[in-house]
Amino acid sequence: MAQAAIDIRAGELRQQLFRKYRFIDRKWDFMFWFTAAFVVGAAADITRLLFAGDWDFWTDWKDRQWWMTITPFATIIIPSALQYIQWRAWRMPTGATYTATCLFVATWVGRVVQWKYFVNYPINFVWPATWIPAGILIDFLLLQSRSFIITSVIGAGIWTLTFWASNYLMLAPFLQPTTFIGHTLTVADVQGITYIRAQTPEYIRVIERGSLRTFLQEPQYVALAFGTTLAVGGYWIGQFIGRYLAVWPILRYLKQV
Amino acid sequence: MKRRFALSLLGSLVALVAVAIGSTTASAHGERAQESFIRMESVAFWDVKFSSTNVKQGEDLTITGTAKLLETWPNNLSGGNPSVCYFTIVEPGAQFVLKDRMINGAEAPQSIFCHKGGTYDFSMTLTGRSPGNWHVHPAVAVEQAGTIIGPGTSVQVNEAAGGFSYPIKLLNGQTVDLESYGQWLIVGFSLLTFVLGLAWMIVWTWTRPTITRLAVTNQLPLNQDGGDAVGLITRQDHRNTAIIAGATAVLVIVAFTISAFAFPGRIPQQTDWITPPNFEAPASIADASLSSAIWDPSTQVLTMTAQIKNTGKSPVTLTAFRTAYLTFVNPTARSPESGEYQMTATPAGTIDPGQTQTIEIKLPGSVFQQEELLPVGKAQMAVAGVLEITDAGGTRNMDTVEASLTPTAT
Repeated sequence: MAQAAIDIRAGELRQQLFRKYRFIDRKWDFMFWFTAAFVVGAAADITRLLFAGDWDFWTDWKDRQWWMTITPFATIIIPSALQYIQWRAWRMPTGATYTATCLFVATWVGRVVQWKYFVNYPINFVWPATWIPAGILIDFLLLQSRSFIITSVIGAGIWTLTFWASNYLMLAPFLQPTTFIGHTLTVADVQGITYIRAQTPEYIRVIERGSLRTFLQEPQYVALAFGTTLAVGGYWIGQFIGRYLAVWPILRYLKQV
Repeated sequence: MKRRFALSLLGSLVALVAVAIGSTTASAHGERAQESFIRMESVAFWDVKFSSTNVKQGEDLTITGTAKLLETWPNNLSGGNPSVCYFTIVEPGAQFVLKDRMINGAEAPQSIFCHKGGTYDFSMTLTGRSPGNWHVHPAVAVEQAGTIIGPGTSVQVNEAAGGFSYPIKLLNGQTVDLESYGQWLIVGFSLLTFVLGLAWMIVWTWTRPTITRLAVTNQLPLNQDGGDAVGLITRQDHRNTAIIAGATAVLVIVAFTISAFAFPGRIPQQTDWITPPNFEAPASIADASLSSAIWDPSTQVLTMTAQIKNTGKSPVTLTAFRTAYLTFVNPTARSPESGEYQMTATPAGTIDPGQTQTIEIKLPGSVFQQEELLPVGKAQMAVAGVLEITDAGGTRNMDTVEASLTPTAT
């Protein structure tokens, strides 16, 4: 009896899901996804710029200590908010991937148009990181777990680790040693010296200076662990934004209407 | 409505034309925007020379000169105690590449440890990179103070056949072009991830409507989707997403492994700061100080009263006054070069050994006003700089001087 009731209820919901609406067709869906891309891309870009901008802009800032500590925290906030919104509203595990893809377009347009063509810095110096692999994996985790708590705890670790792996492989060529002005430096350091940044003197770099106590002689493991911890906090900041600054006001309005 | 729209459009067009006519090319670096006390009291530059002002892409030019962190360093900058400096170039973008940098004869790739009163001979070699006419200044950036700009000039970079490339040799013997090294990996891998992201979004948005799902999801608990019976998320969706997620994980793992083997011997970014050798100061031949600096807006003259004591063994002459990136030359000692200005020093003539002379120095106020260096009405009203004193043998002293600025009217 109970199962029959469940089946009837499911059938009603299914009918409602596949119902054709006269005035809400696929054009609305396209317009929504397309226009939201600008807002989401801008929100993610601004958050990244404010908290972790320099680490994302320059190869000589992408270090072993601070890059992995600051950037995962800064960049998980908006994907987390979008995860909540899109799961709550449509049961679509697309929030993090959508944010990362919009951010990809926003950052690359900015780097190419502004930094390469307007002020003439080479792309291999000012290339943006990619968050898409990390976004896909935490969206997949949300789909499988259906739990924001599990996604925050395990997902933050996946986010940090995947972000590191998918961007470190692009950074690897620039960590090759070379001799420049009589000193042994990385190719990234040489880029920073060679391509002059008038108002970003070298001492301003917040990078590893060798004083971090390390685990297995590698500061990045400590940084990854700490970055993961911070990213859990960042995830819940995003959840707060998604729940109380986005979904709750809209649902309240819809109820009134 | 139409009339209002047309008027708005016309107004916008007029404003646009007015801005376009009124705007000038932004080619300098906003030197005047920096507070006058910072420019005068922090760093003095002298003997700044550009080896060339016309180069081709790939050709070098060297900027040499001397910079001193003055004893009058403001106590509200760097806590009154500058300790880390970076000699750099101010230019509009990456139009040149910096190839070499020496401070007091030592190679200085990155920042240096500096101090108040320190004097630094610098030499920076640039290579022309982008064709165009570029305004270039040497500058000193000081931690917790900012960048203080020295005298600059415009440099023409002409196009070279073959364009610009910048080969560097790695420690493993490989020679790479810094302009494009690693670019294929960055662009290629980034595009691959973008394709995966698009695939994920297409799987979820192409095959089903979005907005109307809200009517159904509103009726379900947050951690439920109703399964295949409802159809919000189907087994096909699980399969497709597992494929994309799996492909993503494999791509990252394989690419990371390949990259780790392709680029072995990696080291972290370096912090290689040096303490440069001490500046070889010339023998002391004079002590100088200012007792007053009076600005008269009616005559547009800045009058400074200096006391100069000859502590050397031969007669000395006041040859110049330098402040910020300006040089005022005593014409009785030498003629001003291009970019320099003239001052008058009364009495003219030399100061004998052991004598102390009071000299009245008159400077053209129009230059100070143009460069916004007269801090009338600001919180720190003072004038500072270095007096250049030279003896018959060519020995020069650069004595730091400072006096409170007294305007005759505000």
